[in-house]
Amino acid sequence: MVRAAAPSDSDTTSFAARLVKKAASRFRRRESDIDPNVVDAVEKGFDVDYYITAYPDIAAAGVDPVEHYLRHGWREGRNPSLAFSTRFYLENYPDVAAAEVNPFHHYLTAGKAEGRIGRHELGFRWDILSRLKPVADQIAEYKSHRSPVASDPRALLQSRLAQALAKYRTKLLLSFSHDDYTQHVGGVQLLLRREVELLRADGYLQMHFYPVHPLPFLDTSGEPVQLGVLLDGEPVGVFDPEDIVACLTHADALAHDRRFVIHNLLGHNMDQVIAIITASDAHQGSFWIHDFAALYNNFKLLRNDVEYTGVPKPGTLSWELCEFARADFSHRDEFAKLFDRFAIDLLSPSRSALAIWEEAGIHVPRSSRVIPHVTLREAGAPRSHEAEEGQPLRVGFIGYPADHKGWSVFEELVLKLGDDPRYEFHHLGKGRRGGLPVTYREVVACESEPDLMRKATAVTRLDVAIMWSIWPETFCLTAYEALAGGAAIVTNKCAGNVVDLVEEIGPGVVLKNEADLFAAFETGDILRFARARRSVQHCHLEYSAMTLELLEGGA
Amino acid sequence: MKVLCFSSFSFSYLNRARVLYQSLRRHHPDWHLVALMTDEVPAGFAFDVADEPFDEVVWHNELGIDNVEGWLFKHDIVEICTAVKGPFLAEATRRDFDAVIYLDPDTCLFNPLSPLLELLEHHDIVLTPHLLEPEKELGAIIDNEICPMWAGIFNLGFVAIRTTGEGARFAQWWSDRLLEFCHDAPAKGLFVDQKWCDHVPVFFDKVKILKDPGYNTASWNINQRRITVDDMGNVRSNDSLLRFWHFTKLGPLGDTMTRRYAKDQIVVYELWRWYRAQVAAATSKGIPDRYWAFNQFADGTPIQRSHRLLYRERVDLQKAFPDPFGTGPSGEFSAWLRAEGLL
Repeated sequence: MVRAAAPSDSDTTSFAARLVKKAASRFRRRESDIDPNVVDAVEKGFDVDYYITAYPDIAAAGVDPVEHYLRHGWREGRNPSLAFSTRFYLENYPDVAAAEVNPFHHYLTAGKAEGRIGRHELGFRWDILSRLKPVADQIAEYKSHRSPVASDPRALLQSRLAQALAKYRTKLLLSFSHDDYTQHVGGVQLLLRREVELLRADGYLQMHFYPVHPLPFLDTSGEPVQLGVLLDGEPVGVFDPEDIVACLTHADALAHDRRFVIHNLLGHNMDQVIAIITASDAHQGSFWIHDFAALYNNFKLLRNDVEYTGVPKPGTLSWELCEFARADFSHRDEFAKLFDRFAIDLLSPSRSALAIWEEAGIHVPRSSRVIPHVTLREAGAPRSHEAEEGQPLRVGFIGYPADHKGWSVFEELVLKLGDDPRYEFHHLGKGRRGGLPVTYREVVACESEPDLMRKATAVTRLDVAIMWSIWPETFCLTAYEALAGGAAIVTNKCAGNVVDLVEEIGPGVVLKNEADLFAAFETGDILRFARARRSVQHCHLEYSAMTLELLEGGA
Repeated sequence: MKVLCFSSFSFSYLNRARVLYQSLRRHHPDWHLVALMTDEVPAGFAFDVADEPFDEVVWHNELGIDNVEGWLFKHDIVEICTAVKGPFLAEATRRDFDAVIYLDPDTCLFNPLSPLLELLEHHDIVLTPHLLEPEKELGAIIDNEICPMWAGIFNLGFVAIRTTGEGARFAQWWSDRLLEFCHDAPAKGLFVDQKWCDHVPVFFDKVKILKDPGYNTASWNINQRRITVDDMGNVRSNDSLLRFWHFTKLGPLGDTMTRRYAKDQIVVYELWRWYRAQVAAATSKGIPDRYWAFNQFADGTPIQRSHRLLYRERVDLQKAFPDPFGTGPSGEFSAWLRAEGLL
C-alpha cells in the first residue's frame, strides 16, 4: 500500500497556506510575556509548516512554534523559514548578535530595509560546518542523553543460550551491528531482519550483539559497553560484556561450527568485541562494508562531514583540516586489531565500496567478494510513454531528507525551479519537510512489504530521481528501487554505489557537481530523461542471501 | 640556499605569529626564523625565545635607528610594524644569508616554498600582486581592483629577496623610504610600506612578479581562485598547490569579507576553522587583549592618532620632546598637549 500524505495539489501557494493554517491551529500558545508587536512581526514571515517538519521535536512537544522560536529556537540556531538562516545572520552581522535581539525580528523590521541578507548563498556545506563540533564534544553530547539501563543477570543469558543451542546444536553465528535491528528502521536493519530468517532456515543460530547506547564512533573510552543480545532475532536482554564472555567461554555445548559476522561496530568497544569472538572460539569471520568506519573516524569518509575526496591520508593537509582526524582515537588503528587477530572474509555490497577499501590498503582481509544485496530482473518489455509528452518532468527525492543523502541540494533545486512549469517536484519516503512546493508521499518499507518504494516510484511516474549522496554509498537500495520503478537517476561522481548503478544499468547521468546539476535543469537538458522520451524498463528486485552466500559457498 | 625568514609584529599578534613560525619550522626546518618585535614584554608575561617556534628576536630598538622613541611615536601600530621591516631587511642582507623572506604574522604555510627558492636562483626580488585578473562585478571592482590602486598593487605581506645585487639595493631603498614615509596617508599617495613597492618593477631589475595562485591567497583574491582538495589530500588553489594563505582580519570583519568572496567554497571555511583553532591554541593568557606597550604615555594616558600626526609634522615638537612617551629634559609632551587643550 502506498499512502499519500499530501494532496497532489500543484497550486503550491494555496497548498502551503492551507498547511500553515492547519498546523498553526494545532499548537497552544502560552500566556506570553513576549512583546505582542514582536510576535506579530515575526508571525508574518514565519513558516510554521517548515518549522514543525524541520524540527520534529517542536511538533512532538506541542508548543507554539513562533513562541518557541522567539524564546529558544533562535538561540539554538533554528530557522524560522527556508528564507532565513538564523546562524548566518548572527555570524554575518555581529552588531545584531551583540544587541542580543531576535535576529529574524531584526531582519523583518530593519535589516531587510538596510540591505542585509537573510539567507546566505554559502551552500548547505557551510551550514553543516558551522554546526560541526569537535569529536570529543560530539561524543560528550551523545553520552549526556543516555539514561542508565540495568544489566540482566548472567544466568539469564546462560540459560537462554543453552536452550537455543540445544535446539540448533551445530551452527552458531555471532553477529554484531550498531543497534537493535528488530526495533530500528533502516536499510541495514531491514537486511539483518532478512538475514536472520535465512540463517534460521539454514540451521544457524544467530547470536546478535548491539550496543545499548548508540554512538557514531567506536567507543574507545575504556568503559565497558553494555550490549543488547538477540538470539535468533528474539531479545534476550542487556548484558555486561564480561558476562557475555563468561557465557561463551563456559558454554561446553557450543556448536561445532562457530563463525562471526561483523555488520557494524559503531558504539562497540573493539577490545570487547575481540574478547567475545575469542571466547566463542569462532574460527571464521566475515565483515560487511556497510560503511567506512574501519577506514576513518568519519564512517561516511567525509572530511568535516562536508566532502568526499578519497580516503583521508595521515600527513596530508585534508587530514589535518578535518575534525574527525583530530579525535584522540583512530578507527583504523582500532579495526587493525580485528583484522590482525582474525582471518576475515570481506563482503562488499558494491563494486565501488570494495574498490575504495582495496585502494586504501589499510586492512588486509583473507578474501574479498562483492555480494549485492539486491539485483534487478527485468519485468516485461520496455514500455513507451510517448503520450505523456508535454507534461512536466516529475522529479523526485527518495528516502529520508538528510544532508548526506542530498536533501539540501534537492531543496535548493526546488527553491530555484519551484515555479518553472517544466518541472514538478515529489518527495517519496518519510520525514516530510514543509515550506517547499513539493508533493509528499509517505512510503515506509517493512520486511513484509519490501517493495513499496519501487511501487511508489512507478505509481508517481517519477521521470527522474535525484540521488545526490555526498558520500560514497556502499549500497543504495533506494537507487535500485528508483530504477526498478522506471525512474532515471541523477547523481554526482562521489555517490559510490549510485554511480555504479548509473554506469552499469542506467538510465541516468553522473554529474560533476551541483553547478552542473542546476545547469542541467535550467537549460532543460535533463528533460531528455522524461518517460515520454525514452523506453521505460520496469524491474523486479531480487534479494541476496546476504552472509549465507559466503557461508553456503563454503569459504 | 641559506634563508632568513622573518615576520614583524607586536605581542597582540604573537599567537598568529606562532602559528606561522610553526608552519615554517614544519616545512623549512633549516631556515633561520626571526621575530621582529616592536613592543615591550607585558608585565607578568614570561617571554623566552627558547620556548617560541622562532630562533631569534630582534627588537625595534636594536635596528640602529636614531632616536627610536621619537621615530616610533610618529607611527601607529600598523605603520610602525610595517616601517621596521625596511631597516631589518637591509640589515639582514648584511648577514650571512643568501635570501631573506618576509611573511606577515597572519600568514601560514601549507606547503614548502621550494619553487620560490628556485625563482630566487634567477631573480633578486619576488613580489605577489593582490589581484591576478580583472574583476567583473562592481562590488569586487571597488573592493579588489580599486583598493590596490591606493593601497598598493603588491601585497607586502610577502616579499622575498636575494641578499646581493638588486635585492640588497631594493632593501636599502625601501628602508630609507620607510624611515621617513611609512604612513597610512592615501591622500598623500602613501600607504605604509606597501604603496612604495609599486615602484619596484621600474626601479629595479631581476624582479619576479609571482602570479602563482598558490601564493598569498586571501579574501581579496579568493573569488578568482578555486580552492579544492584533490584526491591526494592536497589543498589546491586553481591548479597550484596551496603554498601559503593570508588570514587577514581574524574576526567578524575578516569572516564577512571571506563569505562575500569565497561564497560556497567550503574548503576556505575549513581552512579558517583550522586557523582559528590553531591561533586559539597558540594564545597566551598573560597578554592583555589588544596589548601594545606604545599605545600610551608613560603615565598611562592613551595616545591618540592626532597626537602622533602632530608630532610627526612639527619638527619643533620633535626637538623639544625627543622622548615623547615619557618625561624628557624639557618636560613631558603629554603635559604640553594638555596645556594646549589637545589631551
